[in-house]
Amino acid sequence: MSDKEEKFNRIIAEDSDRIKRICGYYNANAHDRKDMYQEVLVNIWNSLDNFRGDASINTWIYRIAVNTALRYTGNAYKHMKLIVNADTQNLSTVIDEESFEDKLLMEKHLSNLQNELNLLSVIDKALISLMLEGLSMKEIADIIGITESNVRVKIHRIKTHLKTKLRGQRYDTE
Amino acid sequence: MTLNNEQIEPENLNQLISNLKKEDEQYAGLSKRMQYIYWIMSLIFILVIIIQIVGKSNIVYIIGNICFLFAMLIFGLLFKYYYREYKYVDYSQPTLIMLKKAAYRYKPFQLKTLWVLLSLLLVDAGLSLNTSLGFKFIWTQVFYLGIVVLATLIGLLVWRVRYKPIRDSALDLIREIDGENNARR
Repeated sequence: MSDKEEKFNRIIAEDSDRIKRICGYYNANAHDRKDMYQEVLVNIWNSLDNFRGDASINTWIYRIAVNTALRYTGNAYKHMKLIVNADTQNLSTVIDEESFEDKLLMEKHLSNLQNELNLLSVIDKALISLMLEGLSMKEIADIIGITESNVRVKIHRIKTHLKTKLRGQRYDTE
Repeated sequence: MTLNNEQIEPENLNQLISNLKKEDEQYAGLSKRMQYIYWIMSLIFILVIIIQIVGKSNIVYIIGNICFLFAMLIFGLLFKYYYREYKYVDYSQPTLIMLKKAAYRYKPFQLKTLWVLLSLLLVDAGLSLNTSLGFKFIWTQVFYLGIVVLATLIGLLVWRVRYKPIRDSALDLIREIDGENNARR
């Protein structure tokens, strides 16, 4: 077995769940998730020769997964979806309100959140998906290629926007 | 969210690895073969030039073959350094850098295009100066430059349909991440 194949198998063994989760954020149906997962594996293989260890292996894998998601949706990238459900980890970090999380777990509010997330721009969706992975601002900045403070500003803006929208919808339904 | 019920089966994974390895080998093989062709052609032109110099051939013919030689060398070097860059996108770079590289890669005219243009002009000069090939100057220009112009137009059409939308998408995303000012660098 070649060195490249060994490294590749190690990544699959250790990080396949992480990669599948990322694919899950962007694809609603199982078939598309599988296709994107395979595409990410192909891109990991093709990029393995360029892995110099400058970034951590986690950051490196997230970069490939997010970049593949952007490329994978091709010209239809503007319609790229961000899929969340009650099982999605770190969902509360998107809103930053524990009490609000309880509300969100009610199906209606979760579906409102889902709708609002899908109205976000493509990059904002990518930022949220990385947040849901529990990554730090520094790690997200390394993946997207912007400064940490820029990530903070963008995420703060997204959270404020989502809170305003969801609060508005809550009062509308009460 | 867990997707454990959608595991890729080990035999499929092995199949995928085997396909990827095969593709790597094909790429390496094609890349080597193409480079061999350019280097062998260059060697042939060097030998022809030496024979012509020793045989005291017409200086114009010798200059014509030197033009061919330089054209082959430039094609060979362009192929060696840029084929991989065009064949594989490095997805492990930060998103913004990957997008900027994609936008640049799909630009129809780049600095590298000048080297291709220079090689094409050298071939044209070689064909025109080397009258021993039996080509009439005017017809050489009409046919050769006609083919070059036609190929360029076809290339631009392919770019317009296939690559311009990708470049536009990349530029949109760059604008979104980086702000309007830096997007069209």
